[in-house]
Amino acid sequence: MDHSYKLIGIFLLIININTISALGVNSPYWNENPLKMYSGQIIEVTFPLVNSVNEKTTEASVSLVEGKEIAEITSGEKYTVQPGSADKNIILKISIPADSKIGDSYKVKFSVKYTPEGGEGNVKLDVGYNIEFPIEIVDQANASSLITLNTGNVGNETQEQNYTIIIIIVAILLILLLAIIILMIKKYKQNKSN
Amino acid sequence: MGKKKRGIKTAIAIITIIICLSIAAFFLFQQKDEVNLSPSQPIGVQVQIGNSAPTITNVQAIPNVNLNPSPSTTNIIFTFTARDSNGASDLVDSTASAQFINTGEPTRTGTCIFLSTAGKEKTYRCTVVMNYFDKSGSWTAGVSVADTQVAIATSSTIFTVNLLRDISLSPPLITFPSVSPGNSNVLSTQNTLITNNGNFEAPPGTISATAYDLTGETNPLEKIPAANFKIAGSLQSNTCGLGEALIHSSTIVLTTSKLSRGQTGNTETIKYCLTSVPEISSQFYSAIGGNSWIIAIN
Repeated sequence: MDHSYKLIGIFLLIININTISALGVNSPYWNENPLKMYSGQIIEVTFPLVNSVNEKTTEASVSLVEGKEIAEITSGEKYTVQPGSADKNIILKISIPADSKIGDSYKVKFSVKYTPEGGEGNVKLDVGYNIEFPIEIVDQANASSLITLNTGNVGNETQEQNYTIIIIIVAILLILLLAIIILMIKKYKQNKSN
Repeated sequence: MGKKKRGIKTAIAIITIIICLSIAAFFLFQQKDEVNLSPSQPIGVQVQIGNSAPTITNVQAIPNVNLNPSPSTTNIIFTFTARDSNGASDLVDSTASAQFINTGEPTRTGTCIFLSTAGKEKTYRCTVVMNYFDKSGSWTAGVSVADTQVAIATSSTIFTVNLLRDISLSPPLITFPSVSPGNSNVLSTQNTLITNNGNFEAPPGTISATAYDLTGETNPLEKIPAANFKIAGSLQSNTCGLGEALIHSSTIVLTTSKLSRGQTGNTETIKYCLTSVPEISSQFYSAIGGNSWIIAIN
């Protein structure tokens, strides 16, 4: 075979634009921060997609990889995220079987893929995020909550409730006493006129 | 008749006393933290009203924080309420402050402004700025305010910073020089720079690559197998020799690459090597569209 010919342009880059493109995913749960659920619980977990202010509109696709027996993506497979936007959410509905026991664990994994803008070439690179998090089965009291309550807050509410109760009791007492006084005065006047 | 009158008068007197006592009790209860009631003994009573240290009665719960990617920062806004028994005016607004603390991380200090007054309480609104690379997990939000006597009230609440996976690739494609059949160990003309725009950390073994065969654009029956390429991260300088071989339609984990978080040092370079060019015709070969290679983080 004559090798005198050259494979000119096998990997010739047609356009090379060093565009930086980025789409991100926020995760409320990860390996070191497992989701804690109780037997029979059904919840929806939200994973916001974020696009930097400097980026172009980006399209992403999502697919469930592991945990199909308990999880489903309810927000669809395709997402278009505007620059500087964080209003597109991947929503996972997670249903724990009623017969699961405390101490059981599950794993959910889904992948997010997007194609960065920029140039045309022979080998294009996509970006992927493999998002995986464990689910631990616990009792209802220890199940995950997205909001951490402050104990001072709870105490303050209790104090306010005490004040309210006292004010109401004193008010009722005063109204009752006034009613008795008025009745007694009326009776006295009646007796006097008789 | 006279007895009746006396009875009614007595009843009215008793009721009046009860009313007075109730009103007095109510007001005493309202002011119980200001006045120290002395025992009812027939001795001289001295009541001294000194400075009472302020207290923080409420710190608003902070929901999980979703960070904005680089180059943006994220403002976390929340309120806290402080009470001073000497009166709300005893609280010094300029001393109200908030801090986010996570061991081993730089403390994020915010600013607080006076929002409203209710009785002896003042509510402040605080804004703390977090960076895109701030660690995921539990943070403590601490708040404080002082009174005119420099007595300080402090309180805190716990909140979670979510994990932000966000990388960019530059350039988002791979280029090689022109090659001929039989050429070997041809390095790509440009490496791929991965930049971490989030707060996740990728130790060796958490960045992966999925490759596909390159298909001839004129004659798609001819291909350059993905297995003819090797890939390496910054921990391996000999890409062609010791890089990891790619496999068509399979994901391989890069043990020689890592990605840190932070304002600096948050990049990683991926290098490619075409280890051998097969006996194929002269045309363009590409892996685009559905065959695009994937750089992923786990």
